[in-house]
Amino acid sequence: MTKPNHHIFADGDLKRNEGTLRIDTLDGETEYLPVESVDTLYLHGQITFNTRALGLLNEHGIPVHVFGWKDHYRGSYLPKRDHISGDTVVQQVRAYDDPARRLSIAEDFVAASIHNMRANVRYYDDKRGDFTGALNRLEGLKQRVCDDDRDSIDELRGIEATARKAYYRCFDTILRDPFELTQREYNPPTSEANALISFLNGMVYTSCVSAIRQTALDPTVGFLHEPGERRFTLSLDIADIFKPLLADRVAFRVVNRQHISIDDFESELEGCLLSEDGRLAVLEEFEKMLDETIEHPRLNRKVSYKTLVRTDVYSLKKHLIANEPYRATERWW
Amino acid sequence: MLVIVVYDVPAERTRVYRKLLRQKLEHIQNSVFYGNLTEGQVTKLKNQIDDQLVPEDSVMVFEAETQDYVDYTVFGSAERPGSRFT
Repeated sequence: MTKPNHHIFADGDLKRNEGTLRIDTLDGETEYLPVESVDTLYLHGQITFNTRALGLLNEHGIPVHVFGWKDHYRGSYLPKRDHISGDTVVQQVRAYDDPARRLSIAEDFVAASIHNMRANVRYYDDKRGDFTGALNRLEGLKQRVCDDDRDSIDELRGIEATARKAYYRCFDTILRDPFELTQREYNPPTSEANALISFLNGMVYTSCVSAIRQTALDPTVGFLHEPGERRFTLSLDIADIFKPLLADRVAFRVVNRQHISIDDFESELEGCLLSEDGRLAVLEEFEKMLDETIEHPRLNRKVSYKTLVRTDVYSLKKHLIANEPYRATERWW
Repeated sequence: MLVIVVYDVPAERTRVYRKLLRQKLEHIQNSVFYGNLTEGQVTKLKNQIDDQLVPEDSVMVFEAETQDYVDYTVFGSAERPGSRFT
């Protein structure tokens, strides 16, 4: 069992008190958080905290992800590393620097990512429409990733972009009306569906940051994404595998089961964003998704989706330091 | 596993257990704590309680293998225990 995350939407003070975390909200309520039973803390409200609180979070290895205005991701406070391993970082950078190895890892990312997109489309085939064309397209693209020899990472990125485009074209049919997705747009998202997907993709990204933090891997050195491009590129790489499994599935669920409606969005400054109630409803469903378990064939036990992100990162680490095969998570269930 | 801890101790000793339990569990009512812990955490918790114990204290720990075995109904204004949102 992994520990649950905790989300703070209220505005107020976060303090250390009697060896645990205490939140005094501006509404005058006080709540205590069991510091030993929190995996990751998400701050969505306006929260004041000091070094004593950070020290406590540090002691318990709790990463904090901070969201600003309208829940735009602002950054993370990551505790001092438990796992320091210069060797792992050296191996990671060596693999990045070796064009053949880098390409092979990047291919695993893209193949898994396309596989997971296809799994989603297959699930909705017949249920919400006929997706035979998209299914064949994605199958063909995955084959190309696995079979063809290539010498540039750009070509691989091109295949990934083509696949994602074909995949997103199915969204409009999968999503129950009045939600529409004619084009995937972000910065800022232009429609309700785009806003929902952007928000959930951000959550998947932070889940990957937390998972990578538990290993000695360096989150800034990615393989498919160019390091230094922006943010933690390794998290972006891993997030691409899990977006279809976590973000998109939750998006389909909350829309099709009508947990949220068009009224849960606000249009501002040419963009469209989830309202606070909408974000809460979506996050509840996202947290449920992380808790859902499936039988893992190699581990011989049930694992949650949250654990799955971790096992993926561990597998990559083992590949980098011990040259065991990297098994990027492809939906098998 | 799901854990519920209740205690009945002299007034001046409540803070001893309150402090210990608040670090691991949700404080749902006066002297009642609730949460999900791993087996290791439960063992550690029991040892820590045992270390604090004096003759007039009474502490009880209830456990269930998973939360699915326990259903509960909340009356009154309190939130359902186990919320991940503040």
